[in-house]
Amino acid sequence: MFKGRDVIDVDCFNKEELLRIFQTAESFKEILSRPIKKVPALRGKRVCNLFFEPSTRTRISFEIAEKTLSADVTNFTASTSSLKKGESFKDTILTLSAMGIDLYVIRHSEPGAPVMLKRYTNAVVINAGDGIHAHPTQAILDGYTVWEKKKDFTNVKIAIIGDIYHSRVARSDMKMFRILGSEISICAPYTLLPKDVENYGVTVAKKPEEAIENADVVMGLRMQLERQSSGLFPSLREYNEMFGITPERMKHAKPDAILMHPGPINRGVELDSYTADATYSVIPEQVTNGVVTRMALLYLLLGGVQIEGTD
Amino acid sequence: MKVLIKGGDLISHSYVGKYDVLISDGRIEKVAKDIDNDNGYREIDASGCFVFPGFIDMHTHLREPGFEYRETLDTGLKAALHGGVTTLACMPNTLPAIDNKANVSFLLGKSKDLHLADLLVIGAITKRREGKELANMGEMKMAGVVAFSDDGSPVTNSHIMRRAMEYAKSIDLPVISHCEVTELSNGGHMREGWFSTYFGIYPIPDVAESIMVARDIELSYLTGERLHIAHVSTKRSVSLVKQAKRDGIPVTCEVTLNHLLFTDEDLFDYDTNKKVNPPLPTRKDQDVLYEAIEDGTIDILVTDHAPYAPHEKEVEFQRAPFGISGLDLFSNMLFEVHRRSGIGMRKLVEAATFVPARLYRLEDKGDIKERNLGDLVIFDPTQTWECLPEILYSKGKNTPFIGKEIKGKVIATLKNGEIVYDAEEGMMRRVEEIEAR
Repeated sequence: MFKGRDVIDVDCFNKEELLRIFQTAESFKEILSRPIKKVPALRGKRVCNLFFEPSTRTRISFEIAEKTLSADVTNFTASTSSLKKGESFKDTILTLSAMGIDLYVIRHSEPGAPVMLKRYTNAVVINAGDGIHAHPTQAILDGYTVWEKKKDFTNVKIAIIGDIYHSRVARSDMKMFRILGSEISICAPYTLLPKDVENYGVTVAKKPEEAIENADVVMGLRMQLERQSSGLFPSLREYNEMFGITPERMKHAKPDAILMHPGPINRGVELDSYTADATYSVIPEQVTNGVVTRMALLYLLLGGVQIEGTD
Repeated sequence: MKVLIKGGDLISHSYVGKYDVLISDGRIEKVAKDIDNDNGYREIDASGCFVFPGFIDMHTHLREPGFEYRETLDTGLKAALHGGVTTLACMPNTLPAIDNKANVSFLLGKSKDLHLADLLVIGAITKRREGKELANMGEMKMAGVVAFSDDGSPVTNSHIMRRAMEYAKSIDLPVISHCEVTELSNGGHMREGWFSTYFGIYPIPDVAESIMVARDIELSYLTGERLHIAHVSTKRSVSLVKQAKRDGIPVTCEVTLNHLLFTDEDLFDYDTNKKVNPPLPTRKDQDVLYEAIEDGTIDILVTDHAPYAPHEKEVEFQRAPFGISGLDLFSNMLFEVHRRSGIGMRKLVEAATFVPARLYRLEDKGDIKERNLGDLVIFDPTQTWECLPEILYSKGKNTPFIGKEIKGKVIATLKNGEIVYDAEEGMMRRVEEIEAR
């Protein structure tokens, strides 16, 4: 049911498929605690990480996932590539496609780049973030993190606070948590909300307290300073005051609520430093979960060999 | 030399239905039921086909001079004939811009020598289309331009636009305005709405267009100058134009065939061949555009033919230039609009023949009637063909129809009574050549 499929965005999966990915990730978690962190599931498979946009955590996460599954990994990053010499995206792909790649992981600053990649290759494509469009593997790791903690989605309320406009993570998360049946409440100044955002099936709260009220999951998003100069908000100080996630505001959430953030975090801007380090923060666990969910996806999409100790 | 077109289904302002058309010395001599061919006229069998007046496309980009790798007068005018367009106007966004009489004369002279479709030239409003100083409008009028426009670079300074409109009024030529507040559209690549959000493409709000439509209508009110709004694409623009017409302000407008056939939703595949400015409308706005054709708020249909080289379009969506190549498919796209919208063929054909001829005072064009030029299109609505790049005469293969099956086919295009394009023979310049075969 998964083999050979592309992951352009998270809504290519239904609820059942997403749960299957989470279960597969769960079974992989044990591998990461083994002394020898390697299984031969993807031996002989060639994976290429195409990073046209700088990325540290996503790239490393994919690389570790690929290597743990014994895939042959090739990294292509824009700074070291011929793109600097003026080669077009199309020509780069045509060149790489001639090298027998089985799966591409692509990160690009332009929305739709994974769709374009698909025009020039028959290999499986995983979108690792394209512009402000989508970041499905981050959504899947977020979904897995919630699944691990709450074992449920239908009675879960998710609050997303911050720059939703520029966040591909938020855009994919909104799609996925709606597919999974959760309630979503979002909050940001209207300058940082995309048009018709309610169409995702979310409610827009006027104040962060209102969004966080009774939430099971509170998610912060990175606020970038350069948005200030484009007239989207007056200052980071005011932003923090009005929309920052503080311990005070977290009190509106359920007592067992968790705090998530796709990283990297800006302490003192979208997250208060105390909030970031509080016990309800699962931000470090999200990183670990990123590796196992990506392993699960790679395994399912490439149809790797049976692994000992897993289904 | 007389040509008799027999058995066709005429769709034009003056005649609708089964009529034969007799053309003599380049002009229509007679339109009647069952004209006998006992004088050895060259006969064209048009049974089962529509016969339209040659289309008049008032908004095209032929790229010459300066961007000959995208299109030349030769390829563009051939593409026009292939699509059933016998008269077309080209915009001045060339390099150098068409802002003086020498450049106007160059285009008119060269196009005449080609003996293809008739070219009309639109001169720039300001020098180099910079929006600063008025171009030599009077001189360009004497050289033969039919209107003024700075095309894709709207005159942002309202005072300059006012003066330009006053000046153009004094020499009795209309101004065509590409309405776009660039501070609002800047950085955007598709219409703002749910789909721009869903596809993650930076958006252009609809008011980026209508705010300037409102400004230019007010300037038309002030100056009394004839104003033609290029490619309206939003319900707000339509509403403003409708009100202006009610108020007696001399404003007209056009819509492109692209905006009648595609919507923002169609960008799901990030196909740069569907990237156009103004951006594709929402479905709701497209319905308003359909109504506006029916009720006459929208006067004319155009292609906004904007050919690009493949390497310019084979890039990431947001990095691609705006524009769709359209001349080759004019008749097909118009027919497709009819099929999808249900708007009557006569209404659509008139909006691309009779009405532009009236607006631009093209006395003997845009209708099938006695004494008009023998500019005609014979179109078979039943044939289908695959739109392969090599079939298009335009250098610009950037159309959403590329590789797709297309319904309907231009069987022949006649210019001044001569077959200049024939579906089987291809481009042909003179009747003598046809006879020589």
